[in-house]
Amino acid sequence: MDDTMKELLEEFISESKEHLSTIEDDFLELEQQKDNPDDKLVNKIFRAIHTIKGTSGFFGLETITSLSHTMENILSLIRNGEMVPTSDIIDTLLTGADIINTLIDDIDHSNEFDITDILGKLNTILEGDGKLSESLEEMELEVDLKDSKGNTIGFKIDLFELNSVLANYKYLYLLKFDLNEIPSYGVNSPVKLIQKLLKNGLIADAQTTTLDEDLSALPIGPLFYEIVYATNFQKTTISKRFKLNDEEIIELDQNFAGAIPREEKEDIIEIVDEPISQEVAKVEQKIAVVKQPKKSTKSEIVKVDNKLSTKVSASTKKLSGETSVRIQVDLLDKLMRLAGELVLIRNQQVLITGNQSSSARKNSQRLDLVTTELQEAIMMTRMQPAGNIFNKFHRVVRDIGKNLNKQIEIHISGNEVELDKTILESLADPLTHIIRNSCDHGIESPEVREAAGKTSQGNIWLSAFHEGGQINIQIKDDGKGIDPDVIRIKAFEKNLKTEEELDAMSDKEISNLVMLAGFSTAEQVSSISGRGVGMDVVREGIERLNGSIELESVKGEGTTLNLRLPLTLAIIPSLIIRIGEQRYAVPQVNLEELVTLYDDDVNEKIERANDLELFRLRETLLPMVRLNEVLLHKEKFTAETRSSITEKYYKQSQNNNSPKTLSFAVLKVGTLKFGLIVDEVVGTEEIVVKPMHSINKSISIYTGATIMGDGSVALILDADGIAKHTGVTTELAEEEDVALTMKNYQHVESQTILLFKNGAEEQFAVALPLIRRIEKIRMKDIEQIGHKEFITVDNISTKILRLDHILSVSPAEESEEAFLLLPKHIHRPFGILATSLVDIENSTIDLNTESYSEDGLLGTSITHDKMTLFIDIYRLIELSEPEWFADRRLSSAEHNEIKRVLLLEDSSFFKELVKGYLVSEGYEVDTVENGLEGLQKIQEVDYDYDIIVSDIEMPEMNGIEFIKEVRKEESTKNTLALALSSLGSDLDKMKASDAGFDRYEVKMERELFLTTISEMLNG
Amino acid sequence: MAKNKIVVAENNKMKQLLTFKIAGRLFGVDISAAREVSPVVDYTPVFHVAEEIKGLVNIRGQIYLVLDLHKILGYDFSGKTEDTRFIIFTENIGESFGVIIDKVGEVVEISEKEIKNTHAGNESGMEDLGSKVEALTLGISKLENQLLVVLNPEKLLKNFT
Repeated sequence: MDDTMKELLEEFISESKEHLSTIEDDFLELEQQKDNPDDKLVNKIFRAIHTIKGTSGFFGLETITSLSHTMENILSLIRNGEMVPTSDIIDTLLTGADIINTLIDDIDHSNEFDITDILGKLNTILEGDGKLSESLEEMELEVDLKDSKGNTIGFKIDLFELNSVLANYKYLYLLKFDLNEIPSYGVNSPVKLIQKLLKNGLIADAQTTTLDEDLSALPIGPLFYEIVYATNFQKTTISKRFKLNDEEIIELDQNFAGAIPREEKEDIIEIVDEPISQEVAKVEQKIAVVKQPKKSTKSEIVKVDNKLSTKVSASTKKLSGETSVRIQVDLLDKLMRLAGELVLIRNQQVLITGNQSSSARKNSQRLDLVTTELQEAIMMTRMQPAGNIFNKFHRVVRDIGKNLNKQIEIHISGNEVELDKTILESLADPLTHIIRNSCDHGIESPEVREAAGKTSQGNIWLSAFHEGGQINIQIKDDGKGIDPDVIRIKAFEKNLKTEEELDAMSDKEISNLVMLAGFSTAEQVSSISGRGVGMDVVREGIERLNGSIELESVKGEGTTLNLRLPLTLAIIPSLIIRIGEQRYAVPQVNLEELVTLYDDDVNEKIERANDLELFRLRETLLPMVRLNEVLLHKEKFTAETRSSITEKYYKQSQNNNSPKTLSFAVLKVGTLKFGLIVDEVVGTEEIVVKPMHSINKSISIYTGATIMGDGSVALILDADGIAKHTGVTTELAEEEDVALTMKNYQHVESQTILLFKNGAEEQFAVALPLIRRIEKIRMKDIEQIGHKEFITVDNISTKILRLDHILSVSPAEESEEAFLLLPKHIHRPFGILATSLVDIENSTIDLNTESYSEDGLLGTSITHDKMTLFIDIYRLIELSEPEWFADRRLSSAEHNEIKRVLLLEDSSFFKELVKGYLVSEGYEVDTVENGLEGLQKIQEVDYDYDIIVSDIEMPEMNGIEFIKEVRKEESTKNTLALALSSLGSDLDKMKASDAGFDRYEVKMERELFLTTISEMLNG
Repeated sequence: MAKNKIVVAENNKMKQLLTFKIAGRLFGVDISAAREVSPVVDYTPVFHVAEEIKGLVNIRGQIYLVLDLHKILGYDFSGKTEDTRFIIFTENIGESFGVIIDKVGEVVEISEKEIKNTHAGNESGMEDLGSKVEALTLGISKLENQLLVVLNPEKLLKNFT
């Protein structure tokens, strides 16, 4: 096939696909309208089918033409109000549309496809209507086209076709082209000629004729290509455009008298005892009636189109002011690749200019900005609205509902939310599965629902929305939900979990077991789905997209599935780590937090159980995996491998040969968490994912490769693969884990935090109660005095602190406006600059100090899937303006002797905060998490504490009980004790004082707190 | 007429070979198989791969697999020098891969009949290649003062798949 022809055909395919994709919903809407079908809607469907019919005819795709033709006939009956679109009719039409879809998918073989079945059904509908409708008659009537003088021109077209054509076009011409003289028409090939014609109008029919009588040889004379052409252009325009002379354009008579019934004409002569002339006269009358309203509907059709164009931009072809173009996916992919390259070059550039002159740095910063924007813009081109797949589910739900005799309605929202094309496409199958499950097993039959006091109609809600740089998709139903007891029994029967394990699990955890591989059971299979059947496949599918899935279900009330997906797969934020000389990337979706152990902790904190190394991270026992050992062992770990590694490092720690520090990343895969020990944590970086070479695809520990800023290749680690390779599974660490989890989390203080950004990279956080006010400022209002920057807030000149001046973080992004965070409890005007505010969140913070730490930071935590730096506001101020704190410093420095403090605090956030205050003042601090641990600590250590600082509210043993115990002991009877609590009523103070505390302070008041401590210690 | 042409081509078809040194011996590949000879030889080693794979290298934003031709041919790599080069093969030969060689030689033109099948026997002192290497060669050609082993690069990657 000619290339141009191929192009045309491809255009036909994509155009038809577009029509078909909207047609389904339209049919369903039509079904809803029942007796009062909306004219506009019917017209829209009609036009779509008509276009497919017309274009397929041009390509000689007979099967598609004949099927769409028959469907068109039915639609025209509906349009004329002669047929009511019943559910059955819609069913058949939908099937027809499906078959057209299939045919278009395999266009080369479409003509071989057997469509007798569907044609039969469609014809039954047509015939079943009983009387032959006007339109049907139109379809059966052929018009012998005539020129203005009334001479026939040798073309016969059915009247219906003509009427449809003329509803859109004003003029009808017969054009004659000599195919031997193609260049004289201003084009260089017949195909180009057709393209040009199609741009300006519509080819209603065409034929080639030659003057030569003898067709045995190639025609010597002109070979005429005659077309019946409908257009809105006047004769002169057409003549100019195609360089045709007067004889070659013949205006046709639009008064189609003389139409005769098509195939049946002989029958009529024989059977119907009626002269043809009468028949003709009858038709003529009808044309007069029909034609008028047709003209008037033209404007309506255009209106519909306009409305449509906002939704389906690609179908705006005929409308002026095109806002979209079709682009080959290949080209977009290439652009995406190139943008990826640019990101790499950008990274290299930033690296090179890091230490150079400011102008070079400025330039590279701009390159950085532009590249980021470009990358985002290109990414946008690959974005497609979720509606592209969501809208299919109207049909799916309808069909299943009918099949199962259930009334189900699906409510879809978030159609406009956009996702990367690849992700969207891979999402179709899992979503279909989930929705089928909901219909089949979630929603009950109307009788059961009514008996349960629910509405007889079941509902499914499908919604998509953005959150924290990810896409959330929620599928919710109000069906019967999952019975945890049934799942418990099933899981036990299938030996997936032991009885003890199951007993320890919450109902939510139990429900999530349905997504475990091997959960599916034979008796659950039905024709549509089985809940649990393939849910593990769904989960795997989602996880392959770097997404996560969570199930919540209340028995009798319904089930909710939450899917979280990344916006794109091509560029991902990741943590760069080092092993030996090599760097590796760990996708940040897998990253929970970073931990670094120092000195003795390296030997002491790593515990051993069976063949595994474990680390007790707060409430969980974390199995540890040493990446260097993983890399060295090509074969999957056996118990022996694991124990030999564990043994090796145990010996090392016994001989005190361990390194000074030990860093590990806590990775999460599904429900499994493990620590990955690395040589060094390098930092975070946005990396461009390149697929693995196909020869290495079977290696489970990598997901791909990327190119680092310096041009070297780094491999991207697959957390799941590593877990599988090393055999670290949940079970190994779970038993103790569950018990611990049950015991803890009873008392966790939540904290309101403000998330903000300064530079392009890091996300910072500060406890909101520490902030007095957030002031919006304009950057140009900042005044420079020496090296310091000031801005006037409330007529007070306020000192500005830039985080990048004190911490080693990326510089503030250039912007016109910024925010100034004004802290509480500070007597001088002072503010911290933030270029953008991310969010305010109320959460329990798992603050981690063992990982990345720097003076001025409290620690890090993963918030919104990003590593977040918690700033120590007062320490920052102190670092910035040491002289402000000189007074107190002097008083505490008088005593050279180091003071020891025992701090009791269960909230890791406050623990680190308060510990930070004390450490920065030069105190030696031991921390414990509750009263019991406190008493134990006092027993253990061989020194006396100078002061005890204790929280009141704590699990196991609270501060009041604790101090009572402390006062009973001879050795600690007189130890200074300060109660520190978020509670601040007089009654609380009384209670604390009665129990034995010397002083009472409210948390967060750093200055006051330190002054009090200083006063107490100095008597 | 057509028949004659084919016969001529069979007898006298010239091959341009890119030659290179591996452990002091001369090897060659059809020049059309080579996409580029790159001076970039610093690769990233990859663990868990076949031992004949050295690692991955980035050439202008594209990642290539680095095969250890020394090991494949049964020699030891004596370390990189300023002559060390990375020959990248075209995609027709195999997916994004290349080999590290000790030194690139000149391009020689020899007629196909000059390339002797190694199975033909040890005439004129041709050394015995191991059977493993033999599977990777198209044949051996005698140049003025040394022997040239002509490799079939397509076999290189297929070796491990």
